[in-house]
Amino acid sequence: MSNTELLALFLHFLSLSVFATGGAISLASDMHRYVVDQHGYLSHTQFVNSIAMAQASPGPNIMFVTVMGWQIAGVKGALATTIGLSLPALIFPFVVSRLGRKAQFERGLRAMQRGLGPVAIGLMLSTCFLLVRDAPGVWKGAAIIIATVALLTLTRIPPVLLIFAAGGLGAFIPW
Amino acid sequence: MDELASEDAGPPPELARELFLAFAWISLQSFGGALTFIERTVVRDKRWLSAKEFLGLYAVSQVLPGPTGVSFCVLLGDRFLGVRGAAAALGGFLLLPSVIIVSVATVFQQFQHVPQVQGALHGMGAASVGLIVTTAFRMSRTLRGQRIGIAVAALSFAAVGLARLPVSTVMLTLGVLSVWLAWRSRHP
Repeated sequence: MSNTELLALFLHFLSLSVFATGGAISLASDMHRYVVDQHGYLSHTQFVNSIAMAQASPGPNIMFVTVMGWQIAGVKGALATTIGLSLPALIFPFVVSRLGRKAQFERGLRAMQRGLGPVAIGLMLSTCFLLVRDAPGVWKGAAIIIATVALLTLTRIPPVLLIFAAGGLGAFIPW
Repeated sequence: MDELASEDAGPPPELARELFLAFAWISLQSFGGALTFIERTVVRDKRWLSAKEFLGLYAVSQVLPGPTGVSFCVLLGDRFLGVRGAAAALGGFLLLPSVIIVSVATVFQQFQHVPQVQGALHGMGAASVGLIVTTAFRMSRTLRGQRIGIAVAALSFAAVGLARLPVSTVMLTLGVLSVWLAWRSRHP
């Protein structure tokens, strides 16, 4: 990957981050459009694998972005996507801390929370739609998705155990 | 959390090292979202923040651009020990997980041609999707009874999920409109 492409990747994740609300995973739909559909840096399977590996490993949610970058261009790619997505979060907190907490600030904060919440839900649903539509193995993937949702809703099994169980199951069934 | 909610915070951390280690420990426990583990460590174990202070700081992190966890580390570290504190908390939060995830990915890449490994990844991927769908359902339930909220969420889904518009476009139009509506509704 050329340095220009690397810079463009960094800038794309940076531009996404500025609009990030409600977690990095809600941006997955847009990331997919860029790295899979437009540039073909990753296949759809590699994209989903990044999310799967991050869910199975300890660490914050944004680690799927790190592994995605690493799959695209090694350490340089990992730094481009991770720093791109994090950079605003390294700057704005310092600014906000030094502004002081005025009444208008509190009001604005609440308005942003309430206003951006529903937009974030729409983004999360978009991510779901993308991932469910192209689930691996058609009905086998669908069965695992449905079983996971049911178990998470009805029981208190830790999610990571379900991921490992599905991994074990997946290793032994033909796809 | 209820018992401690009324209690004040204890003494703040004195060394950047404490912040680094605390957030390294948090990150190593965090499977599927770090929020619970941050709250447990920062409020209950270390008592660096009261429950109320935690929620306030978390709300700010959520609204600020960038990942919530990263913003929270920087806000908390900066609050106690300035830039050094922010760097320590963030380093602790991201360093080990990055090394782990790249190691995991390397191992998987080495064996990706083995059908069982590919199958295991398919299975894990499907379960991860199930996890994300569950989270989306939980988030959607908070919209119950909010007509404007439901309309905004539906539009946001239609734009990004169906029409595949860039998130930036949607945020600058629908996001701005939605925040403006929320701002006005509190003070008609």
